[in-house]
Amino acid sequence: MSGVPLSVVGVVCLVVGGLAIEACARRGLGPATAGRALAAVMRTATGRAIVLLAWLWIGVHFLAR
Amino acid sequence: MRRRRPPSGGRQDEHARVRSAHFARRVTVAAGSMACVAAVMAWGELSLGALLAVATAGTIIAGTGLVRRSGEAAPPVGRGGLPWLVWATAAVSWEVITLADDDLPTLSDLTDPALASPALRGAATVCWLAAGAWLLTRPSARPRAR
Repeated sequence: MSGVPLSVVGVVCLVVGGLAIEACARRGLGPATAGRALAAVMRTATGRAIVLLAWLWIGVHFLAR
Repeated sequence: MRRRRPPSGGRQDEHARVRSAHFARRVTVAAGSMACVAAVMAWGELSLGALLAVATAGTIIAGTGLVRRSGEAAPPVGRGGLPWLVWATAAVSWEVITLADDDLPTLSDLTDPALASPALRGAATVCWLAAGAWLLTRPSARPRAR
């Protein structure tokens, strides 16, 4: 497998993995929810800058580049 | 029976001013967001207009988050955040692999056909702005200015 199908499989694996972590978090099985984890990263100035700049880059890259 | 003193005129004026300021801020934010979404929908991908609209809105929101120190008072998650650290590392690694390999399309290559539709691009812009607003409202240690 190569090219587009392999790339799609990679993205699907990431999405499924993320949904699985979120489902475990909402059932109280250990992980934090994505929202709580993201907010916790923003506790420090460096983490806050990384999160906000990553959000800005996503907008420019996907919507306007 | 105790008689309540009616609120003084000065206090009422201040209350009205605060409500008016909140309303004006909401209207400004809504108008700015709508302008950004409209610009991205109208000008489309790879256009200077869309780039300016997204970069301006993003810079204002990111700058506000940094100045307000949004998230400074969020509760820690300890080891509960480790799965997300692993997931984020995997996501960034996958993106780097696809960027390095010419045969593998990147995530943005895969989403480009969908985002070519103005309606989907507008919906994606609304979601992106909503995510930015959510980041801004993370708890801050600083008292908010009224």
